Amino acid sequence: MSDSTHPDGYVLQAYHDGELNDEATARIETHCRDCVRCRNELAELQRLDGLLADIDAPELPRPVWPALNGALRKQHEARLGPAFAFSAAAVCAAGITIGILLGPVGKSDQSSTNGTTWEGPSSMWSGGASASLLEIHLSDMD
Amino acid sequence: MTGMTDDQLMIRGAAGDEAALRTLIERWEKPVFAFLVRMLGSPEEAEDLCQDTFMRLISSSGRYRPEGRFQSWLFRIAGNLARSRLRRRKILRWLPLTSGHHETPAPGLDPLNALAAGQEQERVRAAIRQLPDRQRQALILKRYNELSYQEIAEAMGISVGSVQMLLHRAMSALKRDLSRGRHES
Repeated sequence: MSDSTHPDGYVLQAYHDGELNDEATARIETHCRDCVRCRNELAELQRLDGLLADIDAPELPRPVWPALNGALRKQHEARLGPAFAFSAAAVCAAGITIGILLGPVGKSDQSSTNGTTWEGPSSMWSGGASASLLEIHLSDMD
Repeated sequence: MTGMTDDQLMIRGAAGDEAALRTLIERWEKPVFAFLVRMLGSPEEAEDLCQDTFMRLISSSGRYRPEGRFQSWLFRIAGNLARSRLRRRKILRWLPLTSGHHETPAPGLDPLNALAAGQEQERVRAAIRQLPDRQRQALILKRYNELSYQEIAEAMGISVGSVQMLLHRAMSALKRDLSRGRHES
């Protein structure tokens, strides 16, 4: 209370917002029974609340998730990009080296490797997409 | 999944459960967007920052402590982004607080009443956008997002007493502006 006669404006506001404890609430209600000024103040707060409530809620034009999922996926891929590109290059280099070392012996086994796909770690943002990140990066290198 | 609390969804989301994060975002995207439109005045910027808010939510989900304060935490992220945007923008012009979706008069009103109602809404919006950022933030969180004083304090990183003062000043300024407008009209 600001003085012996009226509560402070912010206390009335807190009362109006239902933020006071039981004891303070009872004090305000006792005071307002005999105080026209504070009752008017509360009525004004009520009126303002009504005006504020009349403003329509802005509508979300489109859901957040699809765009967010796409953005996160791109970010994730961009972050992992250099590492995956390096890994892919290392795998290719190793393959070429092995191929050279094995020479004609490896030739007969070529068919067995056809259709084999390296599976990189699946992203939590993949949304069930079947392509692994490694595949994506390898295809980006084409 | 929809029956789970925000905290439960956050725990699962932090562990990599995409469905949990999606549920959480779908639960909160509309209130966060509405808050941001009211703070920034621009639906386009609000949509942009809404996405940023959830991006940050996901990237910091591992640090979230499930103590039932998700709403405050989320609006803290959104509020910080909004205020940072406002600071950068160095507002020198009136903010249009309309979303662009509210031009249609409410059904059941005749054109004159609809016009009057529209003008009244515009007056209130104008009064809100003239408030200082922190007063506007506290007012929006209280009146439109229905946070308690304690939750607003947590969302804004201030004390409950400061929230009381911000709200009181905001309401006093609104009262002053709106009664002045009423007399002028």
